[in-house]
Amino acid sequence: MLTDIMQVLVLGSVEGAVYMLIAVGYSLVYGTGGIMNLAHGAFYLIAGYMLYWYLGTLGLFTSVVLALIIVTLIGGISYLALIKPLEKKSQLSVVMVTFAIAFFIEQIVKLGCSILGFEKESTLPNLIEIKGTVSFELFGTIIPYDYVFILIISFLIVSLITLFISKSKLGTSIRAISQDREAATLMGINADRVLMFTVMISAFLAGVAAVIYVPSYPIAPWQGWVILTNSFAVVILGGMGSLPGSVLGAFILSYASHFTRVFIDPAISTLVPMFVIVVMLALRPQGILGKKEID
Amino acid sequence: MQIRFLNRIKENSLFVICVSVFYLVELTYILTLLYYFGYTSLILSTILYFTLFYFGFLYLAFNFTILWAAIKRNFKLIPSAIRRLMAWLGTFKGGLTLFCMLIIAIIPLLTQNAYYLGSMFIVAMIYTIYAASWDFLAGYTGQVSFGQAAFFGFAGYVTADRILIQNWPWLPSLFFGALIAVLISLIIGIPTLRLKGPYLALGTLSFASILYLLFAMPTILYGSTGLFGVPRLSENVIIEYYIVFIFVIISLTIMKAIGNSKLGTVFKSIRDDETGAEASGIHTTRYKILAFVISAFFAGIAGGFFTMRNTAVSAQIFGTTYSFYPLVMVAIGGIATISGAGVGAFFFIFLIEILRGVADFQWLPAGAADFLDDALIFSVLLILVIRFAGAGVLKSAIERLKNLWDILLGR
Amino acid sequence: MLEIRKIYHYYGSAKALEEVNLQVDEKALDAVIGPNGAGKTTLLRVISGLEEPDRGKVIFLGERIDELEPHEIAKKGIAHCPERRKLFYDLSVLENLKMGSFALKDKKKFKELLDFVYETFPRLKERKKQRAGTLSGGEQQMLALARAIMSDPKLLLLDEPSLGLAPKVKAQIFEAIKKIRDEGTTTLLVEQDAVLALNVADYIHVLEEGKIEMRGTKEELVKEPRIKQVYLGI
Ligand SMILES: Nc1ncnc2c1ncn2[C@@H]1O[C@H](COP(=O)(O)OP(=O)(O)O)[C@@H](O)[C@H]1O
Ligand SMILES: [Mg+2]
Repeated sequence: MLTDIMQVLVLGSVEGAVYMLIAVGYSLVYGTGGIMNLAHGAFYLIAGYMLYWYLGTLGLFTSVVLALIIVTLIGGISYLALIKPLEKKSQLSVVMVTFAIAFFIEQIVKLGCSILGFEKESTLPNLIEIKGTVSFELFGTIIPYDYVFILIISFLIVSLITLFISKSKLGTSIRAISQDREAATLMGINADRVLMFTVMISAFLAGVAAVIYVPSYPIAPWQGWVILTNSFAVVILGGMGSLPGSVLGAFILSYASHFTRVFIDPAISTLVPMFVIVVMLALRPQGILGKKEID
Repeated sequence: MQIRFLNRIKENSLFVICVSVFYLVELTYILTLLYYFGYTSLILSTILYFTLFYFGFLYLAFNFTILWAAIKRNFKLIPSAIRRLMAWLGTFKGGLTLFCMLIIAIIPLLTQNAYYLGSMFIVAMIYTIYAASWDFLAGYTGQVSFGQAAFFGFAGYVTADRILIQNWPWLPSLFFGALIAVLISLIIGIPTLRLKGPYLALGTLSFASILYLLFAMPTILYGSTGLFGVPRLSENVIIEYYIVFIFVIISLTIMKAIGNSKLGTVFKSIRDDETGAEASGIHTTRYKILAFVISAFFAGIAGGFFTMRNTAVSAQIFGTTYSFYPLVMVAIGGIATISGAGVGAFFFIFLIEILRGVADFQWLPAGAADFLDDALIFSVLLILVIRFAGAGVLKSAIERLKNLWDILLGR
Repeated sequence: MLEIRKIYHYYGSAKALEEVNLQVDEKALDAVIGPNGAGKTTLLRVISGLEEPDRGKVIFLGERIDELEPHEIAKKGIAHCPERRKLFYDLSVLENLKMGSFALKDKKKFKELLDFVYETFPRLKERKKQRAGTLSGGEQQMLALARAIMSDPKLLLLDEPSLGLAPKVKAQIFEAIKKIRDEGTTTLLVEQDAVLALNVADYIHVLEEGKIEMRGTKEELVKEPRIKQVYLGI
């Protein structure tokens, strides 16, 4: 019983922290530009695979840095080349093009694996392999140091992002755009450029999530969509565009699905995100912390 | 609200009979599931089915009057519709459509090759219904579904289940599958379509990816191998060909007719200006759900045929690939055209065939051919079409052809 | 300073502006008056680049600006204080002001402007940490005005600054507008309240159904019987 509870707590916290990173980025882009980015899960995917491909040849540090730089650039390019020109046309084509980008990245990942000669679905060696002390024991549960590392990194990064958005000039202009894009442009703010930055930040966050999580969790090309679904559930739970909401939603969802997995049934646990989406949209579409009325 | 709703049910005694029959059938179904698959499956199916049915029938009951009035109205319009049809066949587009239909109709006379007929033409026709179902929703009401595979696949499973496990004939199985697709569409549709914005996109995408995970589980819902050994429509591929052909014509005609009817006008007004439509007294949520339900129905029909064609169905059918296909086809053929879906589907199938031909030729650098992945090429194609040619590639090509035709005729 | 030549603007097929010519001289305070739906807001939106005119030119300091993006126009020195204020309601008063001076690079100038704003509107200084959404209507209008002048504009566009305010607050706002003009900022004011506009402006343009029907100084216009009847209610 105790080990079961510990399992829920430990795995729930770790996964919650990862989803927090992913959902904060997703929510940031939606909140600022109203862009429903369906390629967000694919950003996670490509960063994770890059780490997987490079780790053997380039070493840990270089591959992490390279993966993060590339995924950030992919975010920027997607915005500049595809999302921005379509934004003026229609909301629909933006959603469609992000879907197409996500699908494209999934295929690229598969292609990359076959060109480079990797298995498509795999597990990576853990990031921290200090001799002899890869894990410690707490209440009879073995906890790898990687988990602690994941928690520290994700909270650190989310705090930095929050600080950046609430204090810096660019951060304030991000908030200004999210409240009134037209008025923001009247202040001389180049909204397109700021939006490009937010998409890049969000891709970076997804990349960080991938880089820290992929070593502890198996990776597969279809995972991008599961990640995306879970981020939907998180942001709908917490409130679309609300960053504190995303943090809260990530942990609630994660504990809930681990609780159902351990104590009820793994099949039911798969349904948790969908259940959350349907129930929240039916009862409280603005989310737990969202205040804007969605009509 | 409650009382009005009950009155409506009383008005439609036909409807009440339908519901009762349906519940009886379903009860036996759940008991069978219990017998075959045990406890977990019982929980799942009970949750799934009962929520589905309660949600579903409540909503159907609300919309039944609208649908019924539309059907009655359209019956009265049949004679004038026929006159308009004849006139339309005389125009360029009508003539072109008739011509294409005739070509497809005589294909089996030209080749009896089972690969061409079965794996190319029949599959292309099934994809035509599938893509048209997507186009009906996106083109007419402006709501996009990124999880159309949920209906395609679910109906595929249900059809296979009816035929294999319940020994039903194929036709009722097919419609039963489509009906289930309709019901699950209500589960996603009701919460998401009440809201403005791309919530349907989000709901459908999530639903399909979760179905993928569920159906891939080894112990429940027919296991990770899925169902196989589903008999084809007929041993004879030519008979199969013509059955599917007839279904394509009927399905596309229905969708096109709805699009051109008053109901279609309402759909388009929601697409063009939802707030405006609402302001002019249209109950937009209800109409969006109606369109979604119709779309899910035809996706379900396509899914049933697809399963019978492949003689098997597995969790792969819920993969994003199958949700992605109709987008590509419609993007190629042109959105809000319905018939464009057919053009797109055939183009798609032939392009895959050509790509495979290219791969066979081996004139590419060694090994490069292995990487020529259809899905990769189509995702690039879709990105390019959305970015540079919003109206679809072939639509503008057909416009050019029409101009050429007009010049030739000296108009 | 600002010259508008033969501007036409349509929303879809509905005409909003038809052959509008207008000129604002350096350091002048011009007003555009006209009934609701005349196209006053559209005119200002065309100048600040929020709408692209269908035909015609907008020339600012000898340079065509009608094809620039709004943020580029803002950087050229045009500040637009939009209709219904459009504040950043979840940002604090100070943050709103900082956003107003987004395009301003000079730190010292920012300090000066902030002092000027706080001196003109002491209420804003008291509430600088408060969220803009929690301010009263009059305070919000003050903030909108203050935010616009925080960019040290060469030309200030004001869209109905008196909308929905009590007479006493209106007077306060117009005091501030006069003060800003006396500091040397060229201003183009759009108003429905003709009496207020006539009292403050050097030159007045009358816009009706998308066309400039009349223009002149206060003295010239009050003699017109139509102006008397329709706008002044005498
Ligand atoms: N975004 C818009 N779309 C369509 N028509 C508009 C829009 N904005 C304004 N109009 C129309 O243009 C005309 C001028 O409007 P506006 O410039 O707001 O007038 P004013 O500010 O003088 O009240 C009006 O008839 C109005 O209905
Ligand atoms: Mg106005």
